[in-house]
Amino acid sequence: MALFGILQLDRGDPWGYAQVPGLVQAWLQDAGGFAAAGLLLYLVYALATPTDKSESEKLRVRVTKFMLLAGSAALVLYAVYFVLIATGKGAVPLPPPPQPGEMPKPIPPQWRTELQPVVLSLAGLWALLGIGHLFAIDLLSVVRRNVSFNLSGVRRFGASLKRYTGELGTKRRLAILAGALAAYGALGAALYALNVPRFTGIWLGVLVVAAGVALAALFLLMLFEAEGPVWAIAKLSFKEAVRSQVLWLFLLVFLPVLFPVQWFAGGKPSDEMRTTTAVATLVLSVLVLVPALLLASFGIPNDIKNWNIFTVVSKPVERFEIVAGRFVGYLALMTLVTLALTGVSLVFVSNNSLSDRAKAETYTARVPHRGKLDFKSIVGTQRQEKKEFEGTNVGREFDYRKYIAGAPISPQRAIWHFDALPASLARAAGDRVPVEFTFDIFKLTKGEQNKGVLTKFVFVTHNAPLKQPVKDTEGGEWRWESEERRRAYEKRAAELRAAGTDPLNQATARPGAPGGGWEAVNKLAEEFGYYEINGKEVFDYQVMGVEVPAGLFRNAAQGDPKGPRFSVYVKCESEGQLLGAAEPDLYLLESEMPFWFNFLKAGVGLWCRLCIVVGLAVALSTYLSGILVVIAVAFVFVVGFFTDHLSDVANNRNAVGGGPLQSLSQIFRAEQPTAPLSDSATTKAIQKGDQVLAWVIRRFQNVIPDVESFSWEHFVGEGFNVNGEYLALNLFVTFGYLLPWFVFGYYLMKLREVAA
Amino acid sequence: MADDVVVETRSLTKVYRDFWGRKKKTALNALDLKIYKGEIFGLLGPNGSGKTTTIKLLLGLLFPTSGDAFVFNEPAAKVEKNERIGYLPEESYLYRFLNAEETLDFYGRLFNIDPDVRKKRAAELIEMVGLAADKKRILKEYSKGMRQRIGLAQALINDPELVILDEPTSGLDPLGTRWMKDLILDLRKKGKTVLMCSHRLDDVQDVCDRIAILYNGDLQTLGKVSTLLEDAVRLEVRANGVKESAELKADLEAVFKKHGGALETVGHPTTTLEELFLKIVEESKARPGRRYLPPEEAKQSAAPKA
Repeated sequence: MALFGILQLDRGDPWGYAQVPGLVQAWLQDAGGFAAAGLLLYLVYALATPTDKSESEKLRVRVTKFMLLAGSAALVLYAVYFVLIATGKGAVPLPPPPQPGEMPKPIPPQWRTELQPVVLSLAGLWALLGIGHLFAIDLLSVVRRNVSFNLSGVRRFGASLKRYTGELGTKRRLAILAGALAAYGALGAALYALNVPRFTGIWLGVLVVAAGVALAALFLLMLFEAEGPVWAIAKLSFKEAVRSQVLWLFLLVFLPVLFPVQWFAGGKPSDEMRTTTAVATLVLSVLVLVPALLLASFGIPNDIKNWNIFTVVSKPVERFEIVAGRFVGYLALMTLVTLALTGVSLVFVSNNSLSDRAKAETYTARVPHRGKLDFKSIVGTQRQEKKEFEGTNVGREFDYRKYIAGAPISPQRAIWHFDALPASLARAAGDRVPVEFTFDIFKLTKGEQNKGVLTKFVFVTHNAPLKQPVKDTEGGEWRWESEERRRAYEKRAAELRAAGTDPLNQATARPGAPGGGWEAVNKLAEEFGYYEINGKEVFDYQVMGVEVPAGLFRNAAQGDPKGPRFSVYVKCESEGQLLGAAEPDLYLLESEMPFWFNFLKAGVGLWCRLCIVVGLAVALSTYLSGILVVIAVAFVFVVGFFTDHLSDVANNRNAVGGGPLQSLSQIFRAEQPTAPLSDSATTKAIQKGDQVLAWVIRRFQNVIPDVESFSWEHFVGEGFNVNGEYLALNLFVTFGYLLPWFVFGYYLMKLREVAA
Repeated sequence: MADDVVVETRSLTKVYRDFWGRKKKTALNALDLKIYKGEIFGLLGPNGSGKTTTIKLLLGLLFPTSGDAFVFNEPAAKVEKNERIGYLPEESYLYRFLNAEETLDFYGRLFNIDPDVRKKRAAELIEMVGLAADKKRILKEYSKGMRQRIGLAQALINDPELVILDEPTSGLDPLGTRWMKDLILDLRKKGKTVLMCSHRLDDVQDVCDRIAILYNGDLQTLGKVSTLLEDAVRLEVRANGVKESAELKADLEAVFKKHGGALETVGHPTTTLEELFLKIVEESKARPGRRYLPPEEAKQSAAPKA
């Protein structure tokens, strides 16, 4: 039966731990560039400020020896870097240009060891250390004042708990709570009596969410009782936001939109969960991010405008404590709102009137184990193109998939290699491991109606390697490297056939088949590391599955392979059909997780976006007015959805029409974008201008967060597990993005006159 | 700086500039000032003379263009010095969504005061400023005078050694003004140093030991109030139990003439309007139902009933 969930990763695999070194290097280079500019400006300003007669000014525009040292080191290294650029030494080799009509492939960040990136990273590191020195000193003092590493914090928390329970448990409040619970209980009883399980489920879910959020709020407020101005300001911000009408008004107006998510659901069962999740996520994002932006943007500017800040700055409070307190307070409140809304969304999504098929297929979280995709045919030197086969481009505009030609004697294969395998596969329940796949069929001939494409799957471990065919005349088969092993395998297979189990026949060699055939097949697979499925009918763009013996993975676990431990060879056997595949299209199903947990995990991405919005708004609000902060953050955030397009403009990758200035000039001149340009001085100036603009956009690009990378709704909607590794990377990237903004906010707040 | 000097400014200058760095106004020009421990010091001057600018510079809310300011021997830019300062801004710029208790709790936490001490002190201060009945109301609902009172309470939450009051009687009625002045005098009794700025001269005269008068950013005069106000050319003589008459006037003229002077006036001294107001309010409290009667009616009501 066809499954629904098709996970299309057109931007490549989400980043994992392997990308961390590359990300750190990119961060050093990008943030380091801004740090160098900031450090230079600060040092010029500080050294130009007369401090010889003023102790106060010495404190305000403090310059340490380390800052000067770090600044000098950065300067020297940047000079070296520019010399390297000028001489062309130590450069990063450029990736091969994409084939005509081919989209450039996303290159995941990786640590570069060439001289230019290393020197640039070192220069950035010194610049960051220089600009970060005062920040680090003050941050340490702020941490010392606000975080206690001894038992006093615990005692304080205990005292707060006692006080809060005492203060909250007033007769009036208890009476109100009891009344509300009684009314809600009566509603539940009525729903139960009416036998409407869907509404009863919603009733129970909302109760659990409300209780959870109330407890979390109480816990947060008690945490805010900790010693230190940051917590006091955080609590103030929390109260201010709760008592302001912005949040409640916004929720009141837009929350009802969340309820009828099924209005948006498509008619096809395969679209139900996808649409429901997408709409719920969109509504959640708006409900969380917009009020967060409004609250965080106006907090500090209103304090300055209303002069409340006089009564705070005149106390023993470091200015950065105000920034940190505001950030923590707003983030805490909006985290609670996120929790509440995510919980309520989950309750509604879970109790939505999904069809049984949609529920069975997508109301889960598959944990796939993916391999690396490789396309192969006969050896490259024997091919007409004189290079290895890389899959056929069928000319589709969206070239996400590559294709292999179908024919009984076709040597073309789509091969998935698995370097590492989870140990759980060898112990899979029922001794079978599901392998799921989605292929795109490109038809050269009409084929047979209502018939799929016949496909052959060969599963081999490193103990049974296959040989790449050399010539077309070999019949297209990929044979065993060891002829002796092949003979032994075929002999055993023949014995099995004689005993009634044909390992190549799915009728007798499938899990649960009568006569214990599967056990025999498992033994054979475990002994030889080889299993094949012939004639599997594959339909266009549907998730399908086969089950392979777990014995294969026990075999794969043995020995120390030089290449991949396990490989899947896919061959299309139907004449005139092409079978298209991308890397995520085939995977081993490791396990399945509950849907609710996956839905909540996807909320981490939203939380990271929330951190970015609140952090950015608070950092900018140290200098800009509230409305300007709203505009700036909204702009940065919205542009963050189009990082790919921005990257194309920044790197002059526009295939047609050139850069923005060239496009503009062609519009004014009413020229076709494809028309050849004149060789005039104006054209040259425009093209030069585009190069300068691209340079500026490349710098600007570094302050734009890749907002899309925090989105996991397609994983949830398609029923795929959101890997913890992806979420860890989200958190890591969020921290890396916000840190320079906080340093920026620190300096703005430190240097500004709050009473001017 | 001597130990008994609490505040010192050295050629303190502040020039306000626009976004492009062009000079807009010299708010304070080379101010040299010392305020000693335990005194009540008044900064006087018309609007825009530089009083509030001086205070903001001392608190680090503004940065000096040149010169320097020290509080407790520490540069004004140092945050730690604020531990020992209490500050009441010109208008009570407090958070209007908090109630009195929450306000004092918040400001107390900024000083890292222990929760139990904070709670006790907040209760005492609320009682002291007379807001016990309104402590659960949010500040948005307070009158200006009430906000000034809670503002003063927040300024005292840390039991400061130096209290800086910017227009402390602004928005207060005469009762509140008197209460504030008594409180300032009380602070001095407790050994605190008070720096206040005001353009209500009577308030300053009543409470300040020393004053400085600023005009257009320049220090015009500085000294003890009693010394500055003393009219050394004239002599005041007061007596009671004597009725004003032509004979008395003639006798006095003769006496002053004998000592080389001249009599200027003889008459009954007047009390201040503040004194009169306070007296009437006190009487009204003591006699509920007391009301003003025109002189004729007052005579009739005083006449014995037939």
